[in-house]
Amino acid sequence: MKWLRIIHLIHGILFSVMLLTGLCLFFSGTRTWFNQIGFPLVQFHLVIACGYFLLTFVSLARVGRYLLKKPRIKKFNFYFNTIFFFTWSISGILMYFQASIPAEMRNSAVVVHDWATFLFLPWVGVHIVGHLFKVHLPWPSWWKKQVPLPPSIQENQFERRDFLKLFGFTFVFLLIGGGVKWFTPILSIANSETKRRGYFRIYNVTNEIPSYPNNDWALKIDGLTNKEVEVGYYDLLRLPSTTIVDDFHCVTGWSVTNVEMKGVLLKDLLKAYEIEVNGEFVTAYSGDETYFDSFVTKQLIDEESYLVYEMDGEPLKSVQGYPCRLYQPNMYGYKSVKWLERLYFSDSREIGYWQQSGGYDLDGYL
Amino acid sequence: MGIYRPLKKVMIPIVSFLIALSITIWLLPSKMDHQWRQLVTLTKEWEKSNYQIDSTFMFDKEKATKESGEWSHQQSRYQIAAIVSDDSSFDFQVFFEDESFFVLSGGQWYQNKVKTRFVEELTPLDQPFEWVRQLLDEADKIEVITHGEQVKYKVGFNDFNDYDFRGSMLKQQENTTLVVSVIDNKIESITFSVEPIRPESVGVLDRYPRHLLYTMEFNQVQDVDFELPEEAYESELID
Repeated sequence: MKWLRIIHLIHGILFSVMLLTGLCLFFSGTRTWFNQIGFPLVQFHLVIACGYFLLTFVSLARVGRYLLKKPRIKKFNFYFNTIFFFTWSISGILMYFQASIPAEMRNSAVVVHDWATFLFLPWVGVHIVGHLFKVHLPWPSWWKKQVPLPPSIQENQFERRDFLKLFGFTFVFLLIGGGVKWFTPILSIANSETKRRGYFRIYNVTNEIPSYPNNDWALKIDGLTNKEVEVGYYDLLRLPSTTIVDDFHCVTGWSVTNVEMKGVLLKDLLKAYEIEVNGEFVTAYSGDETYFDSFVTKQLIDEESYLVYEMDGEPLKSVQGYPCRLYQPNMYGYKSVKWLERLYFSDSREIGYWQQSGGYDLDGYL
Repeated sequence: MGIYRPLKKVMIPIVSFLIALSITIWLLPSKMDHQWRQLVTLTKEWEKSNYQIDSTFMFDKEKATKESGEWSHQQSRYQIAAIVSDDSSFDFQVFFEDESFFVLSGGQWYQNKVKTRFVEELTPLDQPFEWVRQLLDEADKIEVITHGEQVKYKVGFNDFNDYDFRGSMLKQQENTTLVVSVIDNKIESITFSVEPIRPESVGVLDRYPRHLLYTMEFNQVQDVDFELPEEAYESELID
């Protein structure tokens, strides 16, 4: 069974790399570290995932034919891995093509992808330790050998009649439960569409978060404008504010719905300071001194972008971009530059951080 | 002590119960859920038609405004009378067109975008059905009352998430209802009756209502079509 060993080895290597890169993407600190060293972790994870997918897909039937003749533990391992393989594959595909599916579905895909990984970890641990250190768990003999089942297991094997019983009971319970719920005077779906759903995953490109003690922050507006202006934190608060309740979408697939953000429309700020913009493009620079992204000027002015300083009625937290971040409602979160310190208007377009190192779309429209 | 064998005899009903319970909780609707969905669907259907609308706003049982006009999703116009005293009122006309509104008062035109304080004070004349859906999002109960051909959806509210209705911030509610009256699946009237609990954030000297009553009557019309004069588009901004 040399081919099986080779398949198992390649599978093990691909899976381990995929697991490690996946975990590094999940945890904010490691994700940011890879960003800092300029390693395209997302793309790497995707390439490995494609290799894993192809290998498993091609070898699945053959491995299945072999393992399903083996003791129950082998059969279990085959089914268990197959279920997780399809779970990761389907959720991963949904995450990749998330722009074309509804927010709720892509959020679920992200959650399923993450949780499948964490649920699989104990099995991986036992399997690796077993292989590497020749540790044999004290499984009962009927589980790891081709021997007849003991009566206590034999009598509990699921038969056709048991499936019919399961469906029958479920149907009856559903009729009773559905009836009880129908006549219970509760309104549970109101609010559901306006409820806050999801949570923010913090992605940065540096592990050092800019801090502004005593609100010592200013936004510089310069370049092709009639004048250069610096707007301080309290100056920003004095300008007419606008509140927006909007869904925040990350290009990696997760979304947070109904986020209340308060800030100043950029066009209102320009008007208040009588700034005339002559540049066709604008680059937004973050206070982390690394991240920046660029826009066509009209994307920020005509399409109404915000200089957000409050989220859900509270000042922004440091990791969210305190004291001020950009927000363009029609674009993915990576265009919302945190710790916004400078808007530079020019007649040529800068290629932003993620466009250079991640291949992200320049405009980033949803 | 008895031992249940085989164990699956006990486990099958338990697992069935848990599956049914999960489906019931997460997927099956209550009667109120069904009626709520029905009303939301109806508002989306209604906003495809055009209407003659007559409405009245009462503040503490005193008539505050009287509005009459025509509404369509694209454009609408109203004659508004803000009651000043028993025998006098301040009259003006309001026109909504896409994202803009125009005011004709004393022969003078004004304009602005609809997202302004001025339009908030005229809620829900610009988009009555969207307003009903916004309120439905905050509903706590709903019941359907049938009188012959007439069907009334009575929606109850215990509290709002800081909802500003015509200058009054609504939070906790004593007895607040929205009644949508329907005949033959066509809207007849909307009555928003508010009995709010005075929020602590409202100052002692600030005016706050004991009761608000807003009624709108709808009559379907064929078309709403008007053209504004050039001076309306060139007029000055109003806040």
